[in-house]
Amino acid sequence: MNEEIVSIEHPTSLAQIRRRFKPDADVLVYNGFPVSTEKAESTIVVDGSTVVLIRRGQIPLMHELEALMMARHTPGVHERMKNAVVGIAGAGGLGSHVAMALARVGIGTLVIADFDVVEPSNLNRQVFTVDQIGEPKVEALKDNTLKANPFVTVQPHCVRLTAGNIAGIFTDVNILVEALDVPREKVMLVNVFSKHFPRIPVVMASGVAGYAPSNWIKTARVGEFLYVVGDMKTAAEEGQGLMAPRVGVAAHHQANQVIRLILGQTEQDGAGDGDTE
Amino acid sequence: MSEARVKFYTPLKEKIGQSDMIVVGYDGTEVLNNLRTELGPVRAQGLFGEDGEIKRQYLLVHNERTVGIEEFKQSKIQKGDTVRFVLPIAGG
Repeated sequence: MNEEIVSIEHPTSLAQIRRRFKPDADVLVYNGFPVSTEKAESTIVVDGSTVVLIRRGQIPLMHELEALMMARHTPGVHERMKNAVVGIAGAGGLGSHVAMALARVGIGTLVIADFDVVEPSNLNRQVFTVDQIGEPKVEALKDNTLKANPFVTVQPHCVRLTAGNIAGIFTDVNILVEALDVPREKVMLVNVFSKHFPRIPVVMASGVAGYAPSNWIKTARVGEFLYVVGDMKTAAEEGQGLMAPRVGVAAHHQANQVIRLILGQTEQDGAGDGDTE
Repeated sequence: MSEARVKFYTPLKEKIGQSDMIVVGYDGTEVLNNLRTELGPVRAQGLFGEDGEIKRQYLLVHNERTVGIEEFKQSKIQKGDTVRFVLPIAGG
């Protein structure tokens, strides 16, 4: 109950727990799902359940906050997220959205690398604000992710990724997200990383530009440890820019693939995306 | 005889006009040489540069594993092997 183990006699209803521990709570979440105060009267809490009681608008105590933030997670997910270390190569349109999504779900550590600073033309698609113009992207992104979830550890690396530094920067990651812009840099990153860490999954992106249909963007498994997100044809080029919605769709595909991998889901499990040759 | 199934993804698939083909070869070098020959000069342009080498912007996945072109060239090929070419495109 709100991050603490409590013992209750059986049977006890959710409403009784509310009255006993937090009578002013008006948001009740039982095993990841919200329950109305009326239904709480008839909801008998079973052993091992997770109960979160929230007073709407009230800033909780720090030790309660993390549990309250994760109250809507599927039960059992949070601990596995918390133990994960995810690398993000690039903190632009894809990388900034991936970082925010993974921070919100409680990934324990994010290792983010990008050499660039925030500039005005980034703001149409990247998770930065006007007052962050001129800041190194990795530092600005660290600030933004920690505002969303102060329990995430962010390791920022303000460097240009090269064949010589990739292994050192991402040496501890469980999964790597490729979020670079230039094709040759994408290839270099994936080849170098895969050579050093052949069994660490890489989730890359290809084809996220413009405003073509969102549903063209999909996740394809092209190797045992390589996933490609995008429509694989819509390039950023003259006459075709990059904008928040489509880049965001792709970034969230990448973030979701990361979560699926952390939770041990593979495409052979029949969960949807699969091979798309 | 050693042979590999070579798969092409979009947009290479459209340039070549098919999604896969069987290519014989004892090792990666032979497979690439035979692939270039079988594609012919026009269709090979999408994948091979003027120097006859695979263009550097391609990722190569051999039997589910991402490998560099040079490493692939030295790899022995066995019947049933798969080779995939992925072309990452700009934007991020």
